[in-house]
Parts: sequence; C-alpha cells; structure tokens
Amino acid sequence: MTEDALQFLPDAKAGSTIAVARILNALDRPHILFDPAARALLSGLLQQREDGGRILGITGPPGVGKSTLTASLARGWMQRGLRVAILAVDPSSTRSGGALLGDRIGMRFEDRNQAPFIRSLATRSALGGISLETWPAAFALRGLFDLTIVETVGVGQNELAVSDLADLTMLVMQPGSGDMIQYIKAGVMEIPDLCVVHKSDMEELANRTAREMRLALRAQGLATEVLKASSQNQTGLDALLDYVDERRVQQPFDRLIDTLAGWQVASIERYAAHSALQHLGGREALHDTVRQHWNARHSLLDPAILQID
Amino acid sequence: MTQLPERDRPWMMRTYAGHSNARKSNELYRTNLAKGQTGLSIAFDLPTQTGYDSDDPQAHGEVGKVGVPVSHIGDMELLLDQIPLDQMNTSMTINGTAMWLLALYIAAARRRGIDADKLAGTTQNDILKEFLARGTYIFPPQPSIKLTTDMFVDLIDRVPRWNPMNVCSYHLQEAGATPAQEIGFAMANACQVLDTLKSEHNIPQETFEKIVGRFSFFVNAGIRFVEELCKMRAFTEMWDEITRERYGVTNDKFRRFRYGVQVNSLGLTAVQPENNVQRIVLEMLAVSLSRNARARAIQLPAWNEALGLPRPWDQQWSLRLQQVLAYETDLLEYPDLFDGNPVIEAKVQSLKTEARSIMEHIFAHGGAANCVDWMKSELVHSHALRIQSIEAGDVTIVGLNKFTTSEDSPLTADIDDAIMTVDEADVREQLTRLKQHKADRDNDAVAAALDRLRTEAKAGENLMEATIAAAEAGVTTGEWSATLREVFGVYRAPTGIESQSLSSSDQTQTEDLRTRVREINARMGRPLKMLVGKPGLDGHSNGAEQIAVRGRDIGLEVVYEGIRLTPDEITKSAVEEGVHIVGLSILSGSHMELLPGISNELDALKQDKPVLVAGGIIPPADAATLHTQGFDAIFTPADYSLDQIFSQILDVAEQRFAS
Repeated sequence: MTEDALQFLPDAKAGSTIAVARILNALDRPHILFDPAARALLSGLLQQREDGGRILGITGPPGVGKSTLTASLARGWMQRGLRVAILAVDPSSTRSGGALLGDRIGMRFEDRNQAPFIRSLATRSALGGISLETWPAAFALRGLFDLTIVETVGVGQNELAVSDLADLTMLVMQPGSGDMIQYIKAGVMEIPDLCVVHKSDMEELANRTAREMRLALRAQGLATEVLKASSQNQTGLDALLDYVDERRVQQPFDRLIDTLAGWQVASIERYAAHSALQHLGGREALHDTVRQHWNARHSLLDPAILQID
Repeated sequence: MTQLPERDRPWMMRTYAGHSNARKSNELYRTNLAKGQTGLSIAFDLPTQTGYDSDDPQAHGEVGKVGVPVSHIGDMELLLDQIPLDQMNTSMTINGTAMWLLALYIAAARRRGIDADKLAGTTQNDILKEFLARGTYIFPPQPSIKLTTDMFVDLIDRVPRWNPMNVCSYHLQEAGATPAQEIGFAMANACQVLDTLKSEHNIPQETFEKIVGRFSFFVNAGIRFVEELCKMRAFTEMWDEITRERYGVTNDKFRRFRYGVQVNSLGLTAVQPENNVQRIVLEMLAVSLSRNARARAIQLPAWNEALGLPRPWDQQWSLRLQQVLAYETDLLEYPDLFDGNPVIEAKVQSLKTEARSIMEHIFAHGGAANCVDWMKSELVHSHALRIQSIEAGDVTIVGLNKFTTSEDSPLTADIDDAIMTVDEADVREQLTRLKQHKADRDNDAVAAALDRLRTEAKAGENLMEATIAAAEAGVTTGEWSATLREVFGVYRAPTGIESQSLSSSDQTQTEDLRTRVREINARMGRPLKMLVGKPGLDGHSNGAEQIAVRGRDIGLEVVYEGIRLTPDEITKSAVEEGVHIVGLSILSGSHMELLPGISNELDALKQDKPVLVAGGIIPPADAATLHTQGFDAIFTPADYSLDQIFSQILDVAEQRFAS
C-alpha cells in the first residue's frame, strides 16, 4: 500500500494537495517504520529539505484559543511568503476509540488559495498529547512545506511530547488562568521556548498574567520570553512571527536527527511490545490464560513460563 | 365568576412567511391578510439574516429559499407595498442584522409618509440564542449585545410600540432544551440584556421601567401539552418576579410576560405527515387554554414542513386551525380555567424551582454571555438524551417508532407536488433589481453614510440613527454588515460537542457498531475518518452535532467543521483530511445548488473518493437526482435512528475501502 505513496512524491513536491494528502494517508498506519517503502519515502522527504522546513509546536490548555492563534499566525507566515501546513491534534475517547476533531472550526480561511494545508489527527493510544502516527506526518510535511505547525492540547510529561518533535515550542495561556501555577508545579515551564498570553484584548488581566508568568519563570532561573497577542484585535501577532522567524532558521539539523531517533526508538518499543503479545497469542488469549491460572491455582502466574524473551 | 362579561379578543394570528423575492412575498402577505390573518410575520432568507447581499458569492443557492431577500430600501418598499403599516403589527425574524432591517422598515415607512411612532411590531434580535441554537449571528457577543441595547435605548422614544427584542426560548427547545432549561436560559438571556442596559447606559428608572415593558418573548410549545401549559404559567410568574425583585419595576403593566408562539416544528414527522395536524392543534392548546398565560400572537407550522417548503394552501390550513379555536369554540368566554388547580400549581412550582437553580448557576458564572459554552454543551447533552429515548422506543412517536403501518396517503401521493419550490426567474429578478439599485443610487451619499457608521461604531456610539441614515442613503445589507464586521470582527460560536460524554442509554446497537468499526479499522490499517459539516448559510447545527457525537461514540475519528461552509471549503477539507466518509447536513432547501458540486470536485480523488451522504429536508425527487450525481445515501427526518444511519454508512464504507 505504501509503495504507491512513493509515486505521489513528485506531485506533492509540485504542490498538489491531493498528493500531499495521499502521502499522509499512507503514513497513517501502525508500525510504519517497519515498512521499507515508508522508510524510503520519509528518508527522501527529510533529505531534500535538511535546512529548510521547520516544525513549530503550539501547545496549552483547552479554551485558550490555540486554533484561532494558530490560524492567525499561519495567515501571517503565508503573507510573508512561506508555505505552511498545520497538524491539529485532539484527544481520542478512551472508551470508544473515536475522536472529535474540531480545530478546523477555529481555522477559517476565506480564500482557498491563501490557506494552509490542514490535517487533523487524534491522539489515539498516546497519553502524552501526540500519537506515534503524528510523527511521520510531521516529518513528511516538514519535507514539503517551509513551516509545519503542530497544535496540541497535551503539554506532555511523557517521553514523546510535542516539544520533542518541534524545533520550537510555544506555550499558550489565557489571561487570569490559574493553570499557570499548575504548570510551574509540574515543571512544564522548562519545556517551551516561548510563552504567549493570548486574548490580550482582556488588557489589564493579560498584563498581570504576563507579569506573573515572567516572575514564575525567573524564579525557576529561566529567561523564557513572554509575549502577548490577540487574535481578535490582531495585535502582537507580528512580534510573535518575528520571534519565531529569527530562531526558525537557526535551529541545527542535529536536533532533527535526535527527534528522529526518539521516534524510531518509541516505534521499535511499541513494535516489540506488539510482537511479544502476538507471540503469546494476542491480548485476549493472554487474558484467558492468566484468568484460568488463577481459577486453577488461586495464585499469580509467573510470566517467566510464557518465555517472552 | 364562571363566564366573562364579554368574550375575550382573540390573539394575533400570523403565518411565518416570505420566499423568492420581495414582489412575490408582498403578494403572499396581501393574500394572507385578506384571509383573516391579523399580523405580519416576515421570514428573511439566510443571506439577509447573515448580512450578505443577494449577489454575494456566500449567498449562492440561498437567495429566496427560507424567506425573502432584502438587500436595500427598494426591496423593503416593494415587500410592504400597499400594506397599511400604521395599522399593522409586524414581526421580523431577524437577529444579526436586526438593527439594519428595522432601519429599512422605518425608512420605507417614512417614504410612504408614515412616521416611525406609528409603527408597531417586533424584531427577534435575540443574539445569545443564535450562538446556542440557530446560527445566524455575525459579530462577537459584546458588540452583538450592544446593538440590541442600542435599539432598546433609541426605540423607546422613536418607535414606542416596537419590541426591539423577542427573547427566544423557541430555538432552545428545538436544540434539545428541557422545559426548565427553556425557562432558565431564556430568562438569563433577557437578564443579560437588562444588566447591560443598567450598567452601560445611563437610563433614568422611569424610562428603564418602560424599556422592561418592551421585552417580549417567543416560545415553543411541544406535544407534552399539559407540561407546556404549566411552562407558560411558570414563565409568566417568573418574569413578574424577576422584573420586580431584580429590576425594581413597580408598574404591573411593564412586568407582564408578553409572548408569541410558533408551535414545535422539530417534532413534526415526515412519515404519516397528516398526523402533524393533531400535533399542531394540541400544541396550540398549551399556549391558549390558560387565560392568565395566553399567547399574544400565534403562528403555526404547516403539516408538511418536514417534507419541504409549505405551499400557500398548507399555510392556510394552519391559519384555519387557529380560527376554529378562536371563533368557533367557547374558549374565549371563560376566565382562567386552572387557577387553584393543585396538579397544575405543583407542576408550575417544580418548573420554577428548577429554572431558578439554572439561572443561579448562570448568574454565579458571570451571566449568560459568559456561559454560552456551558449552555451549549447542556443543550447538546439534553438533545442526545432525547434522541436516544426515541431510538430506544421510550418516547412514542406515532407513525415513526410505533403504529408504523399505514394506508397509502392521498395527501402525499404526489409528494413532489406537495411542497413549494423557488423559481430561478424570481432569483434573477431579485439580482436585476439589486444591480439597478446600485446603478441608480448616489454613491457619494452611500460612502458618506458608511463612513459615519464606521466612525460611530469605533467610538462606541448608539448606531440606530446612523443605520437609519444608511438605509435612506441606499446602502445595502452586505455593505452595512461588512462595515461593522470590519470594526467588530466576526465570531464562531461554540459547538458544545467536545465535552459530551459517551451516550449511556441502551447500547446494544452502538456497541455492535463499535465492534464493526474496530474490525474495519484492523483490516484497513488506517482508522475510519469522517468529515461532518454544514454547507450554505443555514445555522441549525443540532443534527450535525448529534451525528458528530454519535460518530465518535461508535469509534470514528470525526472532523467536525461547523456551519456556513462553502462547497469549496468542504472539498478542500475532505481532501486534506483524507476522510473515508463525508456527511453533510442541510436544512435550508439549497441542497440542489450546493451538493452536486461537492461530489463533482471529489471525483478527482478517484478510488479514494469518500462515501458521500447528506441529511436534511430533501424531497424524494431531489434525493434521486443526488444519487445519480454521486451521493451514496440521503437521510431525511424519517431516519430518526442515528445507529441505523451509521449502520448504512458503514455498509458502503466497508464495501468501498475494506473489501
């Protein structure tokens, strides 16, 4: 299936939306790292833009207007002549496995020719905010666009968080939000390269929040910049664009190599776990075995007898 | 006293009407008045409601569909031609552009030599419920509410017999509100406007009391007519209490709960549609039996509304239902029939208690404007529960989920003739008149009027006067709206769907569907993904929201894109998102203009073309055409089971992508 995807590469490079979408479809599968065609595709995409495309992470709690801000910034970068893609990540329902992906509502572009490429993704089984499937999508878009924005709720304490994927990460807060204190307690303040107080049209409250944020960062010995912006009033956006633009091109390619390594390790880890389960006949069979063991012996089963290694 | 000394005067009888263009609608109004209708109720088309001229690309396919297009003063003059405006009571269902349409009404009257203070009527103008249920908002909450309060302040002297706002619980019920939520949310919305009037405008108490007296309400009446009767009594008592206690209104007259009604359309069925007549009559009883809480004005839907646009004959039938009750029966000869009735009293009290606690929650969280997200999410939840109980058969709907066998109905034998369609020639006539208007007007005067509007909007001044001046100068609906969009910005209302928990009723079929989705996903490798959205300007998003939530519940990854989408936006999203299924909801009657293009564009995806389905008020002939144009399934209000709908969608998706 992924073999076909290689044939879309020339069209995708030439700017065909359908071809870009087909590449993402092909990469949106479990254990993609173990598919030779997918590896070839991703390697090809990454090699061709070693010093070009960059990934920006935008993260923050729900309700702070991340989608609106993402759309405003994307519009700004497109006006500055960049080709922009957005990956919008929303949580999956743990019970049904389904998801409601609603970010496009906040990202409206009247002119179809002046709109970024947008793909919505669900977190699926990932707890840290982005699924393993998000990574190859981001890598592919990095190879095809000047800037790829990954927008996600999870700030992520897990090994695979958006800050690991992105070249730069922006943490978005809203005025008067008590979340900030929680974030500092959780040590999250160390992650972002930039903090943004959005909805700065709520002026007084926004100023106070920005001040508190700076103090909190300084108390942790961090010099992270805090900027204010309002999508509603269209203020502070240029400063945000400038800040990211100045740093965007400076990010070394080495960082991407680490990022790639991180994803590959996680992919291998999941594949190993998956294979082990398959080897044991699958989750349900294993469940039955363990259950029967208890019923027969009234004791816990020794996993060693399963010969996992 | 067992009988009144003199028979009561009947309520005002209206028919919600308007279609095609101003000339055609004017003919209809004059015919309706000749049939004994006693007030006007103007339905505007969606471009007019959302601030676009008939020639705007956004208006494509929507002109003259759900109401009359009014783009400038010429349209308004033609619409009101020969109607005695100084004797008329006119209700306008208009919200985002309420100030503008009233300005056109005032300006058109003045050209006929009728002063504004002779006019009487109502502009709906309840913007909070547009955010919650109906979707024809334009600006963000704050400037939207300011336009409403500007009207209250200005009109109390200029048009003293005008109700600037009709607080609507109507659409809240359609969006799923329980009776207590209807009362609680509507009262909180009214209080939001009153609180803003108190805090932002410096109004003497005497004038303020008069302004309170101009608040009117627009209510829905459902089929549980005893409870609905109690709801109206609860509304009446609570408004009296709130205006006295919270706003210190001393004059009884200004505390009176004045309301108009359109009885429930959502509960009308497409199957055995003749049964809708019984439903309409019973629902009318709920708002007319209590003398102490009787509607001031009633308009009834037509029996065939779930099938398409009603014809004049269908609307006449509904008017006759009212006339029989008012003029043939003895209802209007008696004082209140329920005073002191312990059953009614107890029910009224329990509704009031529940509504009060809802209002307290809203007040504790900063008022209605701050609670739009919360209210929306509560509505989506209530609506989901309602749908589940119908699916499970806990709620009986005769002909739909019980007693479903039927003889062939002579009423619907020729179903495609039993509804009305808009003639393309009428749309062309509208566009020609708009072009002519733009050619004839004084462009300098237009520019000056728009400059004044812009300047005063930026300065936060009352915009009523500048808006009337703009109407007289020949400004168009689109120009007035665009100027204020520029100053105020635009808004996207919350969808309320993200916070919905998994449905919890009888889950056997939902569980089966979930298993099926899991199997299909395992076979395909990539999980099934669906795009749900609403093309066109129709903002009734309840159905689309319920589809999105149920899709998530059966395990689909659902991209929900909301309302007011162009066909272009939908195809772009479908391609970029790589979805397997596209589900479109459309209720405005513009499906034939908007849907086929989407299918054609998606043909470019060849073997990856998503399963394409649409739902809405789509007559069988149109459905058949859409099938030949690439739609895999068309759902109508007769398809009430969401699980059935998804089962059908999965059949097609499985065959196309996983076989």
